[in-house]
Amino acid sequence: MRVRPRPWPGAIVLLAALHLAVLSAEFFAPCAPDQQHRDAPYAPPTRIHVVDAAGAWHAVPFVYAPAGTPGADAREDTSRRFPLRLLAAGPGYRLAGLVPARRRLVSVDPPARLFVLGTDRFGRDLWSRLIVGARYSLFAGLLAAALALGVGGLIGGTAGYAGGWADDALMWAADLFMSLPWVYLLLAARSLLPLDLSPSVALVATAALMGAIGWARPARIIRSAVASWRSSDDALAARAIGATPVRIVARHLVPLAAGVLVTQAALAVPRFVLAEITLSFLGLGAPEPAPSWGTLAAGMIPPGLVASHWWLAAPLAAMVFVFVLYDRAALALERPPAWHVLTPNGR
Amino acid sequence: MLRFTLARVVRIVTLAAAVAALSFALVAAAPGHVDDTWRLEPGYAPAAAASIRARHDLDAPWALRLMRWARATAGGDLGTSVEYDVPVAPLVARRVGRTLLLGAVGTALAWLLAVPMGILMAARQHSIFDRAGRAVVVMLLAIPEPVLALSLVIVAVRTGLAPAGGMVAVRAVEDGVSSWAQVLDVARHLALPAVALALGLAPTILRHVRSTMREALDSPFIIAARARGVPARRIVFRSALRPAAPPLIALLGLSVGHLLGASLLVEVLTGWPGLGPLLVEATRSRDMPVVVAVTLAAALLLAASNLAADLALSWFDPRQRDSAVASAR
Repeated sequence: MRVRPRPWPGAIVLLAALHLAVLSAEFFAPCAPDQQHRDAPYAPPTRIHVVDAAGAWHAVPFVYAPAGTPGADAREDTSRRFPLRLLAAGPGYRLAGLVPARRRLVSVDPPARLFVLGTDRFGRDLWSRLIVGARYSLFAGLLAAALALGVGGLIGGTAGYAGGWADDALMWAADLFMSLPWVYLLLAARSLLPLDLSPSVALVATAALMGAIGWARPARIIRSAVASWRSSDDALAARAIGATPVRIVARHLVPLAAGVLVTQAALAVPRFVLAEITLSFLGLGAPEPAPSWGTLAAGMIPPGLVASHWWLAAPLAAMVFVFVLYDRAALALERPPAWHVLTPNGR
Repeated sequence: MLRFTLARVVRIVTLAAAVAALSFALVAAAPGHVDDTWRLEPGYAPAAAASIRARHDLDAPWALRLMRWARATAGGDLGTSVEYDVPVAPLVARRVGRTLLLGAVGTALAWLLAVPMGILMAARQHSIFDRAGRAVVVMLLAIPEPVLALSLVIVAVRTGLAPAGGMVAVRAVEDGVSSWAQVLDVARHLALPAVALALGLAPTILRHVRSTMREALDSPFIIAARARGVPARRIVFRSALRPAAPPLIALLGLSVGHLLGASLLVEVLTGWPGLGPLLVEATRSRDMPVVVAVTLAAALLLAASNLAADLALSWFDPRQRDSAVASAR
């Protein structure tokens, strides 16, 4: 009797496709994320036409170059059309950070520009920053979740398997971490690190911080799963046939933990993505000019800006979309809790 | 009951001590005190540097510093803010009051919104109202509070419905404004962050209210009551609401942790001068005494609310005293 939507496995597929796409984000981005168009700060989204100024239709959509100074007043120079070009060569980049490439999905010839979502205060294409920034934010979340689940699984598994004082001590520490308001802890831990970090160092550092703070919840859940397996008939039988500890871990505990970890991962990833966005928003994560959804959100401050430049709110729409998707994927991945995970209050 | 209370209090004291030690360790390990940047100022006299280092106790071995710091903290002296050059304790205390005000109003709003709706949705299961409510809840649950708050701020700026920043208007602190008008002014500024907080909190509560009410309404004694012809309204509000209440009390206590985390960003986004902006500013300016004090204050708030929830719950439902509460963490 719970208020829940029906699980929709398509969310997982869509989310996986999204991750693959942002991995090679530059292919979908007409500009480099840090490329400045100094004459076009706060330019509105470029209008894409199929009907030209004379009223004639064209099969290939086209844009006009801006007339005079580009910017908030969106006058267009209608004397020449610039058709959108598929897979045209542009500035070089590395596909997925590895393969050198030049082709971009859609682009136009200069002097026309293709700002799908307009530009920010420095004249940088917002769409390019949004999808390259998605790579930063989404993968920081993934990395942090992997760390938290790895550390949490190891600690929880050890506590549940060893029992006794080791169990007590580890779970006391987990309780300590869980009873802290974790955003505060994250900020406090962030003050450990220097303020200016290079983008890749900042990514790893942010993920490591979040992982170091987020291990407690998965650890508790894994621990209760392992501990109750230990007192089950299954464990007794394993011991009776003389299974070695290695065999018990590999054949019983790892498969047991894997299912729990998948469910936990589905819940943890969005939390960590949000944490990365928070840190970057506060200027403590991705450094400028590296785009992250947090720094893009910071570009919406003060909020009066958005009232006159609506396209700056695009990161918000993207966040809502992705978080709803995460939520659906988590529901689809969630399986009914196995008997050994159930505690009296169904934690 | 006494033993139970004592056990919980001891737990909280050890927790606070551990948090304090942990945050001190963070500070001691942090590279670069603010003094390191000040030292680069040409006009910075060595004597001034020495006095500042002495004031923030930077030169002693860490074990000695920890002991001194622990003694001072236990006595309520949280040190001196590097950035504002004032004692930390009153600085943080004032901010705690504002965060509590925001949290209390936000929580009250969320419950006032969620409880009647949850009861109604449970009582009229599968009606249009129930289905529409569920759709909204599902949507709101997936959207994180910061995104919600930012959207609300934009709406507020565009429509001018509520002031979108700060706690008081400049006019209101000038002389000759009545205290009643000042209260009203703060209330107007409180509207936006409180609604943002409430909208983030309400769906979780609503979901719990609906499911516990549903469970109660489906239980045999309700069927028996219905069979005896007890009026429907009396069944919903008397017979079903009462057994459904204890889990909700537990939820009230446990939601404070969530609230603290959410209010940090909501405060930053709406310019509400609570703990959140203070912590962010302190982190940016490496004002370590303030970082430690805010973390400690947040942890104590959370622990105190958990304690209050435990006590309320065990008073309300004595069966809870031994098992469930201890594992509700």
